[in-house]
Amino acid sequence: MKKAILVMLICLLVCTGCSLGKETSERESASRELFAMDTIMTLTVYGEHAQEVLDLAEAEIERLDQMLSTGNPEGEIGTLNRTGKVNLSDDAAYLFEESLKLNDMSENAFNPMIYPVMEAWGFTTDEYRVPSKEEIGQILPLVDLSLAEYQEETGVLQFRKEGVKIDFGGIAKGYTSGRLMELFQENGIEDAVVSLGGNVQVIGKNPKQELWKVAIRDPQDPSGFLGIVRVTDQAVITSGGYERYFEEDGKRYHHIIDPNDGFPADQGLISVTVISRDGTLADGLSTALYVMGLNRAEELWKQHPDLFDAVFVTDSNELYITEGLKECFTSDTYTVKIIPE
Amino acid sequence: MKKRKEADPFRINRYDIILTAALAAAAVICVILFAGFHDTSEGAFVRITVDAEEYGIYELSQPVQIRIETDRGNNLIQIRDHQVTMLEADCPDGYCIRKGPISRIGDTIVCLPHRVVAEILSADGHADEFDVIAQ
Amino acid sequence: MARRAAIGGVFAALAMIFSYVESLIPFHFGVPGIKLGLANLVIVTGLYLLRIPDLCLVALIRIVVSGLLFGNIYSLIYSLAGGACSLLIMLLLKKTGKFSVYSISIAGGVFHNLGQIAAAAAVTRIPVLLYYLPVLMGAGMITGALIGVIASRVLKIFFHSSKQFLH
Repeated sequence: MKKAILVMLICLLVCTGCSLGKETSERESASRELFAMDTIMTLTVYGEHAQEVLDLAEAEIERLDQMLSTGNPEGEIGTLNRTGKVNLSDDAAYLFEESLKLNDMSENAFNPMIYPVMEAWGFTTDEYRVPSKEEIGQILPLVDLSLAEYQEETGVLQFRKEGVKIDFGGIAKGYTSGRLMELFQENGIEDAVVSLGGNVQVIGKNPKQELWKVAIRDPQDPSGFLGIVRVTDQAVITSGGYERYFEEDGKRYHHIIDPNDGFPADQGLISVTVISRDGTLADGLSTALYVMGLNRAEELWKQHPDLFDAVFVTDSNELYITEGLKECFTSDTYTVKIIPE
Repeated sequence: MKKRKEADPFRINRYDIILTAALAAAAVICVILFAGFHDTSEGAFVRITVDAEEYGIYELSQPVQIRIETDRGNNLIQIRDHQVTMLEADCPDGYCIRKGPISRIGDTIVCLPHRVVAEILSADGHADEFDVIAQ
Repeated sequence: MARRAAIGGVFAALAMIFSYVESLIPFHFGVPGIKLGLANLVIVTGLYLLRIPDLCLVALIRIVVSGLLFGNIYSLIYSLAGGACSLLIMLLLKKTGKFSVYSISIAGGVFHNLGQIAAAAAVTRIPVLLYYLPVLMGAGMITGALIGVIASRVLKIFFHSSKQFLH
């Protein structure tokens, strides 16, 4: 009898030990899905107080959304576009400065003043139409960063002309994901992944303690991927005309407008993915490089190979990656061509 | 006290062995029967959320049509042949219908104006080949 | 009658204590529903010492009260399903008079987990839970065997001290 009890007690201890071990190796993690900036956002963080950190993150997203949304007439950007003048907060000032840099870097392929043109095409209201060349010709001069005067000492941004409007939508999500990563790290979170409407940014490692595996949507197969990139502490942001377009008279018009001529960019690329530590940069460049086309994008990358990497799919269905991705990008569906430094 | 011809409850007899063997055999059969459930390569379920709240989880193997009516609008989701499609939606953009059928783990159909999302899950609830999709 | 109530009360209280002790021991294998089933010891013992209606009442009280105290509505539903299946099969097997306490207890353990997982699969509509069935059945058999051994020891004491069963 005593032996039997002893055996059972030992079994019990072993089982308890097993289950305890399993419990301590599973960290606290939390996920949240929310709607903001006109899209679905999914946030997942790993670490202590995960739920509280997500609360902070949600509040930050709401704050930035209210500030930057062109659809919110009382917000900072809303007020700016309505009245032509506003006192820029730190975040918006940063976005303005970054816009100037991106605009310069990309030779006007990225321009936040494109908003009036987007309005003319109906992309802002989903009432799509094809504007005439004359109409574009009239609006295009408004797409000019020099018409936005920023006084650093006072913090005031003022438009020099009527009808000028700004929209940071092209970099807002990238900026937000970057802010979220900062917030996570400030709160002791080392591993996290967010997807803001498909804009991905990660820090640390995935739950299996490997590099995060980010799959990139294949523009040709809406349910498949063009490849998988393994990263840590990077933003992965994709742009392509296939994301949003309308058809009229048999012709397809997509939403990535070239600020140089006011029409959908047509430089031979169907998808661009930018991978960078800087979320704002990745977001802005993903559309800028699309507008620039493969050759000019290559040149730009060669000037700043440590700043970002990129994946391109051309309209002849070829896939190119910059050399920095050589070791961490794989594709089952395309032959990968490498762009050397 | 009535005397019944009962087995001594403290003696192991042949019926015990038969019963125990039968139960063990049943467990083995269950392994064979349900092993198929744990296939992680193909999507096994679709999770539908409305306004970020879980509406339901359905098996890909069971054909069904799911009508979702909210004050934002109507959607009709169809599960058939291991694929999920947005059959009908009275939203202004119709992207959800244009998406076509989905079937792979991690695939989603999103009706943004109506805040309806359908996502394919693997049998154990998450995708294995990748952690997140950039799109 | 008062005697029956008192004895029933003792059994129910004992089952509650075992439930409580069980809830203190962290016993998770990542599979929903694996429980040591310590309280089943009281039920199996009660099979031979109590009248059938009293036994059912004890089981019901134990499940409901510990479900309310130590769990949520879902664990309560699963426990009820498991407990009902387990008790039913054990009563049937005992009635045939052909089985020893050991295999009755084993069968009880298996059907307890079977009932639980079937209820969970039905409620959550996630049939993949059935994947865990063989594991749980195996665990049920093992705990059932252990419970059977302990129960037999306890019952032998009753056999020796009084020549009568309590019922």
